[in-house]
Amino acid sequence: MARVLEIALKSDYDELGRICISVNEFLESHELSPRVLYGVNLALEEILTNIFKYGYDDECKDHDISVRLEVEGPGVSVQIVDDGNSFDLEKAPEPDLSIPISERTIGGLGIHLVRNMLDTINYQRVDDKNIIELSIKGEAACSGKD
Amino acid sequence: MELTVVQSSDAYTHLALAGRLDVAGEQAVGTEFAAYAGAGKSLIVDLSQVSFLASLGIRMLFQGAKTLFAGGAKMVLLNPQPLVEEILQTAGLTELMPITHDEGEAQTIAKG
Repeated sequence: MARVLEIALKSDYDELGRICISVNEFLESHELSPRVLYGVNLALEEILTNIFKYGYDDECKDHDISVRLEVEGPGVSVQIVDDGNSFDLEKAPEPDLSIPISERTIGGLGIHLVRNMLDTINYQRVDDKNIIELSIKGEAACSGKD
Repeated sequence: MELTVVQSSDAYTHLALAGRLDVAGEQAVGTEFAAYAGAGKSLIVDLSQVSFLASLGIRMLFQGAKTLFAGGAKMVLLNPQPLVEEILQTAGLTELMPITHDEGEAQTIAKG
């Protein structure tokens, strides 16, 4: 059973449906916890929409983005590479929770959710490309021994 | 993503969402949901059949809750699945859209 899934996509919201189907077919072919499945879906949804929305100064939907998933034991690592504007996910500001809730906007919420559910997030800028690597560990299967 | 009306009373409207509340899900039900929030009557929103919720879906719910709050009404979220509830708790917005697993409590909150 393949432990790696590589997907090439364009910078277009319409790609998300196809990505979602491919990713979940791949993930569900492995014995992963619901939390790991949710975390990978969340990371892809939030980071790809962030790239589509803020990554490019033009309106072109033809920029190349690559996604690579690798099942590592009970967890999954995710790599997303795009040629958009530099955006260091690690340094993105947290939502300001001190603002009265009725006046609050929710900018930055997606990244906040990803930070909280995923275990590691790394960012590099190499050759004018953003390389985001994330991982969610999952729980090892019970061995039946104390 | 589907939105259905479970019950409508003088005090509140009880809605149910089902499916993935992601970008496509928000596009499918966002306008209709905003219309229910804009009507000014408190909402009970059953999330038990929502399998996935991301920031765009939270934004949809939160904008509705803010609209209702401004008009003196309320929104209460009913029976989210565990991972959806974890996301809602992480978002830190439950003061304005409280979560309950008790329909009677949801009705009490909605009636204000």
